[in-house]
Amino acid sequence: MNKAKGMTIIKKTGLTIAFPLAMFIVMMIITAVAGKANLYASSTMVMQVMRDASLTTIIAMAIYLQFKNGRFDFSGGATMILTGLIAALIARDAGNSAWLMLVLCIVIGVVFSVFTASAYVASRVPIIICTIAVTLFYESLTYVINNGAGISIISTTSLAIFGTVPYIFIPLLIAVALFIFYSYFTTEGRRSKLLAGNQKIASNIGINETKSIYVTYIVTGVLLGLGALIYTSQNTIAAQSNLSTSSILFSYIVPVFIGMFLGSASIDAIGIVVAAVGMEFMNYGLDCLGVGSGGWQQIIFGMFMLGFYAFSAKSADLKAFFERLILKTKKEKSNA
Amino acid sequence: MNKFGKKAVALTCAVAMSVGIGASMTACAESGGTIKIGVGVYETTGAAAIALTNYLDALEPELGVEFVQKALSQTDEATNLSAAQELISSGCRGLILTMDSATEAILDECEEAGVYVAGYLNSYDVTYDTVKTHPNFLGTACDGKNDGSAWGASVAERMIADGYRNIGIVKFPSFAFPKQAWMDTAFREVVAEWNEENPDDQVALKDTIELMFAPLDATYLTQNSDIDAIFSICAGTDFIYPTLVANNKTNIKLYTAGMSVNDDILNNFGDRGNQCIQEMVYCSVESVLYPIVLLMNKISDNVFADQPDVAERLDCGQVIVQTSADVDLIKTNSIYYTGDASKAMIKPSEAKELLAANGGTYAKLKAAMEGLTIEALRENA
Amino acid sequence: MENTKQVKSMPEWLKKALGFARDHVYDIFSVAGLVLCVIIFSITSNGRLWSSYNVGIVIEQVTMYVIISLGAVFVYAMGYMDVSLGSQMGVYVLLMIMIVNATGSLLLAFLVILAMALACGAFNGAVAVWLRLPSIVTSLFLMFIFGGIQYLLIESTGSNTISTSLDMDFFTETWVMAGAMVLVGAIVFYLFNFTKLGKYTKGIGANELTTSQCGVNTTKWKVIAYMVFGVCVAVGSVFLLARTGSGGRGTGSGYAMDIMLCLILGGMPLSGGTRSKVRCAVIGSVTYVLLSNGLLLSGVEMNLVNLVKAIVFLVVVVLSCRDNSGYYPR
Repeated sequence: MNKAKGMTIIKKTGLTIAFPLAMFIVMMIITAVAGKANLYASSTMVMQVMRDASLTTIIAMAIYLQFKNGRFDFSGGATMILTGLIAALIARDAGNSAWLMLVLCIVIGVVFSVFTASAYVASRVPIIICTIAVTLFYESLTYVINNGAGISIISTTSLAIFGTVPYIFIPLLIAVALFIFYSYFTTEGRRSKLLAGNQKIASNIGINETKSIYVTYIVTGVLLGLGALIYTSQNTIAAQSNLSTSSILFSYIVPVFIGMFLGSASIDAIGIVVAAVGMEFMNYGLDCLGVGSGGWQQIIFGMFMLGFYAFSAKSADLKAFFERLILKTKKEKSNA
Repeated sequence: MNKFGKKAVALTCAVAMSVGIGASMTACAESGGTIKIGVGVYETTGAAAIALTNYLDALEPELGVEFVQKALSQTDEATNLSAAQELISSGCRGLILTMDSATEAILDECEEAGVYVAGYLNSYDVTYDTVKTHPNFLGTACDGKNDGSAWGASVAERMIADGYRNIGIVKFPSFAFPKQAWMDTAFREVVAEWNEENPDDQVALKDTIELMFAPLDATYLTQNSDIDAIFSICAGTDFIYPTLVANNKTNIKLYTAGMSVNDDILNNFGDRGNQCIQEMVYCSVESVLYPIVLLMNKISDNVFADQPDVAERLDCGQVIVQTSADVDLIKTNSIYYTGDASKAMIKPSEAKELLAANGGTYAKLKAAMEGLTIEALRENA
Repeated sequence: MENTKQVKSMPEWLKKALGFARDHVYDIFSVAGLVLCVIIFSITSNGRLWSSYNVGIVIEQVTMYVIISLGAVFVYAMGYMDVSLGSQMGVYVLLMIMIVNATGSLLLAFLVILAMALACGAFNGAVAVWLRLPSIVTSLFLMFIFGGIQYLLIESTGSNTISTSLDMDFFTETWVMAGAMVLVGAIVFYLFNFTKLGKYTKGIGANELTTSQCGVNTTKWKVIAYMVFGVCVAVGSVFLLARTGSGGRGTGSGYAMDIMLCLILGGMPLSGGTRSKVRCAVIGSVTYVLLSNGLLLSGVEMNLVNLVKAIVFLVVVVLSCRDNSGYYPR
């Protein structure tokens, strides 16, 4: 029994780390062939992967949290940008305190998320449409706040510490802990699957969807606030328009889908973390090869996504195929 | 009240609200003699955009002109054509455009409508040879110099004089910005000349890399761990500086094209803060007077007697920022930083003297544009 | 009791009118949004909205949006969306320019991009089924891949923008554009309302499982729907090229979101189903173009345009997309 349990744990752990490990090995081989192995396996790579994967993980979790509840929320990117902008402006004027900025990001992120939830509840408009409207509204505010000048705090070291290692792990750990706690240790979190599975039945058996919406959006607001903290510490925030923040959504949605698949071996939060790490291994490797941006990077990324999804969709069929093959081989051997 | 009634009330409120919004935002009725000029800008936010807007606002009463601004797309031609068409439809008789995008289609449209076009911060790299003889194209004020080789050479001399011996060069792709290669070449020629004359004090130049409109990779810094300075022909404060900060490499000095008035940048310029950024350069907003004057002259049928027959691509003065003192000067005395039109190098009240109707000449206009330099800022201080 | 008496005493024509209004409340509000824009901008633009020049440019701007939105009706009626539209159009425009400049044949260029658009349509429809993925994910693949191809194509030309040497003025004639919209609209209207394609796409949007269990090969009809959309994208690309005569590395960017906004403004339910209407494409596209056009003519400050658009969008969708079924609509 213990042996079986132990084997299960080893198997699940193996499956969980298989993706980032495989990605690392593949990129290592490719960069070695290109004569850039020393560039790939370097301390810079470790730092950059940790930095980029942290932000990716947090934003992916925020997107995924809504997915789990059956909602496709377009406004995540806009909420994050606006939160970062306002929080940075206030924190900068208040003496460049990074801890103040952390608190402000969380509070402002929650405020905007609750506004989005309220808009959804009050308008009774399909979630995608509602969040598109909210996105347009938030983006228009970036033109008004600070006269549309945006903000850059990347070299104000005292303010941007959460964009660098090791401080970046603080918002990451808070986000992962909050996500796991909400999803697995709260009633609303566990009910989310019911609502996503069949909204009408879940409502009819007494689940208060309005409460669920607000609680989910509060948690999402915290996650987006933490994401805004890191994003603003690493990037210049500029005014946005015409749903340009949806590109942020689409950039970070890939680890969500990959994480959902990988999380089946453990839990979804871990799946998203390893998916983010694996993707950053790939991105860094492409940087080393000189195709980290531009046309080839997009093509490679698209092909990788297609390949991964094809594999994950057909993994059960592939497993059955290999099992049949192994059985057939064993039979032939025993017959021989 | 039943459901339909509620919706009817909601619709009525929406109508009232919308009419209220529309009424409060409607511009005053156009007066008979006011010339309307459309300004298509690719950057609608930030210090440069604010400075431009405030300068245009201040010019309006002095010149008797109304400016209408419209955002252009940096990527989509159809959007820019639509913007030009809407400006024409709103009554603009002249267009000032900051992008060489859908230019030929726009000029065809303007020719039909009897509207004139002039450029600002725009070298018309792709279409200049085609459009320079177009009857509706009057000329363009470049973003500084059309050929930036002189600046490239001056940066090389300065970097060598400042003691940097392992230099990296970064630019945008040649297909998008072909003239950046000229600055690169000029830089390398100066370095080559130095190396020939100083065999014991060589300057090592790395291969020029092209950024695909994305920030500099950290891998560049790892691969070139010995560099002590970077010459950025692209917008270094946006594309290179963040990478240097993120990787704790602000000891690498940055000499860059472009300008930022972000305090985060200015507090780390010259001998301040991390002292990373050592040179920036920009073209001041007063150069918008070149297209404005050409358009106003043409619209009022009073062209300069000495105006060239072929539309010119005018080199404008550049404000080259090299020291903290220069930064202080810009913070107090430039419209670029303050957004205050009264700090402009060419005051709005002086602008009308440039018009042909007021005795202006093309030579005078050209000289005024070429004089928009840091020296002029110092004189104005 | 009193209400019943009031209803009974109402004239017959009024009862019928109210009944019609109740049954078509969402359609009415999406049309009302358009009418509202026209009325308000007619006033605030001091009549410039109706100048012959402005009407001409509105038709020019609207043509591409209408043609593509009409094709998108099939995709959105199934409850799907396509975010690769912009990248596809960028590639199609560049390829058309290259082929036309090399061969002089617009027809050949069109056939090439048509074949590509049909292939993309088939890919979107079939791969989503095969991989059991949401359509947005398959269109994400295409968005990345086509985005990369567009970049490489323009890089290969050594220039930021390329132009066509062919005179395409024919396609910018008002009567040609209007005729194209009417023709495409008529074909789409027929297909959507009088053929199995329309019936089954609406059925797939309403309830795919039920539709499948009724014996409908949903995969086949999904692929056909996407291919019809592909045809409209190819035709729209021709009109896009005809307008500017050039293309670059960013041509087409943002159009996927623009088409989505057009359909939403027209009252199209993003979940698809039987409430999907062809007129949503036309109404929404015209409203979308008029918003931008009218705001400039009305003298709204550049930095406030986005705020006003957002408010108008919010008002229109609340009025036209609200769901009072008792459950929060997904």
